[in-house]
Amino acid sequence: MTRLARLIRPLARVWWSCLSVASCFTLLACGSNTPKIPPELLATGGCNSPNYPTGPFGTEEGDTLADACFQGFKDPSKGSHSESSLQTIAFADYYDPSGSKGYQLILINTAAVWCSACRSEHEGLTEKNREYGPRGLRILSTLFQDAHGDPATMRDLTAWVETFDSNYAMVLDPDYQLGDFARAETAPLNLIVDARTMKIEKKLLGDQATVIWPFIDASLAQP
Amino acid sequence: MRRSRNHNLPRTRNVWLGRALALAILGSAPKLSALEPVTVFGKPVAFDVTNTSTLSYNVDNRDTRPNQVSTLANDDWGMFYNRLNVLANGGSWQAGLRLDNAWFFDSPNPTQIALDLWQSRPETPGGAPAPVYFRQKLNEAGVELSNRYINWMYPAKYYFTYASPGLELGVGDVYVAFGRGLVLTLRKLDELASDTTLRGARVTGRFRGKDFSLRTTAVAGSLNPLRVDPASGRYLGVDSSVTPGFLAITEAGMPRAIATDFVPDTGDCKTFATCSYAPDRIFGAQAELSHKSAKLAVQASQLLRTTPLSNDVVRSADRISTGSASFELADLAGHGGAYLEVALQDLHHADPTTPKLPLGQAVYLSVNVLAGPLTLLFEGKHYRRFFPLLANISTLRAREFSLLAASAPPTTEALFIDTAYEGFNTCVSGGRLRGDLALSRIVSVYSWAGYYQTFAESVANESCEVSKETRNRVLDTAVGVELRSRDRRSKMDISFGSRADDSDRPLPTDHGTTNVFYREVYTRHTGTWFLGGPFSLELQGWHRRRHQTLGGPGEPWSEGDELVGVDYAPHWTVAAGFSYSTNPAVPPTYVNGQLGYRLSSDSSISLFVGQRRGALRCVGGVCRVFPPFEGAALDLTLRF
Repeated sequence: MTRLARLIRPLARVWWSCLSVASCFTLLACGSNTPKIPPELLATGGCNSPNYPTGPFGTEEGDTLADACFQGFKDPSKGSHSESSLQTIAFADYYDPSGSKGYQLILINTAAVWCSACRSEHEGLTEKNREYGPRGLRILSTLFQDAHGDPATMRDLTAWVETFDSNYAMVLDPDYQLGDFARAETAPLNLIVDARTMKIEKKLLGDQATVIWPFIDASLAQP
Repeated sequence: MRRSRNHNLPRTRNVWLGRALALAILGSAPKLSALEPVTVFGKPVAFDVTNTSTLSYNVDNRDTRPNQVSTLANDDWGMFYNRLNVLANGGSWQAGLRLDNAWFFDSPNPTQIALDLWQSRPETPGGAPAPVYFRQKLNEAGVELSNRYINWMYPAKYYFTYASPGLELGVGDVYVAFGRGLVLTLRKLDELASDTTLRGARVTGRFRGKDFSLRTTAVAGSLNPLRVDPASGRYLGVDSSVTPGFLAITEAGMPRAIATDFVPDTGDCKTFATCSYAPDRIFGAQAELSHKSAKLAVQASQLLRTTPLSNDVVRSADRISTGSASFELADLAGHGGAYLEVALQDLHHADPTTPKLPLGQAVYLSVNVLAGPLTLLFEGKHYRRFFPLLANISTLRAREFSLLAASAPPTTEALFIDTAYEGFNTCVSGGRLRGDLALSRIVSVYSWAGYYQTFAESVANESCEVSKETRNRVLDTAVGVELRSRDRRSKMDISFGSRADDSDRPLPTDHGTTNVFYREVYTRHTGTWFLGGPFSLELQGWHRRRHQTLGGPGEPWSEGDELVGVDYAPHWTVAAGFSYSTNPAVPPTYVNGQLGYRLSSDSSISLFVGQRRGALRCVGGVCRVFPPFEGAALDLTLRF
């Protein structure tokens, strides 16, 4: 018994000190210090289209994608790349419940100038758009950061579409509105969305060409 | 909701809390004395108890970027992290328990993060309206914090082992190392605070003949990494949807995914945003036949996965089978040794849309030659579609754990190399030759040269297409000198190295078109000088000049770390550290001070105050990302 006590006593001391200190922290931690939100931030609104699916929305596979609006070029291969040519482009523009627009799948992709995997991915995206566009795929890519990790600018967008000869929708996302889906460091994010329901079919991080294109191919083959 | 409830307390209070805790621990520290054996069922059982506590507080680590939630979510948090190890040794058997607990006494507030981002938001065209921006950042911060800074206490490791001359049996958490790590390797890496085991069972049998011996090992269980990352406060959570049957037993008491105000419990780990880990089941076996210094072995492992949480080609596989054969000659007539291992790997995907990859292959060769004062070591590798057994982590929800793996194919590079980017080691051929020459008892010189062609570094290339477009050519060289004093109390190692990593792929930049490449020159040194009496001086540094055209700042930059310490034997150590970087993406300087006191040979207390640069740290190809740290950390280790 004495030996057991010798074993237990130092342990008990350490744990008692740990628990007592932790209790102090817990007590001190109580209390409300919730920051006040300015009224102008509590306004509702956004770019919700009246014809867009209603929530609940989510960010995981199987969830319905919430609408979002951006400024960019719908088809950079046509027209100039000046600021005056920017158009408002929303996810709702690609929503096609009846199939009347001919859209079947949407590939939503994020890109940043510093991101080597994004560049590698965009090197082949123009060709993929030519191949899969007629079959019902629409590509929308959002450029969110520059080479230094700062918000992307008009200059970055112009340089990007000219470098990669983009023929798919390319928009600016300086606020990184798609941050709900993945952290900026994990770019590129690829969301494959069913245009008839706006449900997320697949969500991938990184340049996953081996997985993305066979999946798109198989999905487009379905009626 | 189990989130810590206080946020953004005045900083002065935390300072006082830290002092109070330090005093409490010191005041209650028991007298250190070895525990005497306890008689259990008439037999003596020796106990060994070690308790390691860390109290840390992180202030603003200066990595804040516009519109990025994660760069504010790692500021102003405090943690008490305790690891209690109890070992009972009864001679032929041992039993042990490691109990971890993390208590977070301060953490960031999602509303405050969203407000701070809104207030510092730069004016850029294409931005969302302010309420939309605020709501989106609030939700993003809420999700980001939902699996960080959560209090947990859990049985990190427990085991029982029995050993006799012919049989070894382990139940609970066991380590495994087959061959050189191509097939299966689970071990503890103190340098990276990594400790991954297999929770299950291991049986080893030994049979000795007249001229040969046979050793067979079988393991089965689920992968068990440490669940709390003390550097980021992130934890790995499981839920019942990924712990059926046997896994419900191995995951009993481990951290769970939790619902918060921002994350609903969907009942399915794949869509439950705080469920970041689904344990894989792993089976492995090895047979090793030895004759004198020759050893022939075959080993195999199979990883079974039910719910892939990430969609990359390795983590989305539901079955990964790997097997290898190895041959080792430990003694070449007193002039060295050789080792050869040849392995195959098959990835199976349940998802029919994922294309079937051809069989992965790996060949690893190591030859060392001893010729008087000269020692040569050659290591070569040829890997095609050969992947590490990456753990089933959601890289989206717990990216700090994304490098966790159950195997580590040899890199053949120097241990500290941290510039083998992306899938470098999955599709590569090359090798490295190192020579060490002892010029005298006090001076030896060494040098190495390595050349590799990798096809998965600057492009995603899981199928390992070998072509000029996917190729990077890497030349890694170094030269160094080791000096020792005649009494062996002082020593110095200084080296200079370079790395050139080129691809043929053009890269348009503001200054014209260049190629995708990485270049580096560096110097490393480590040394101890005996100053006389109880004093010695320690010096450690690594200074680098780097240039990365893609993924880096574009322009060349310098960075380095220097640590200078004085050891006052037998108790005190004092050290000061300085780091710098001219990379515009990170702060330019970092300063810190460290004070240590050894209570006994196994017990110590140390205090770190200051700044530490964020970095990717690698040990032999196993890497871990350490975020930048600014604040104070008090470590106390007591062994009884």
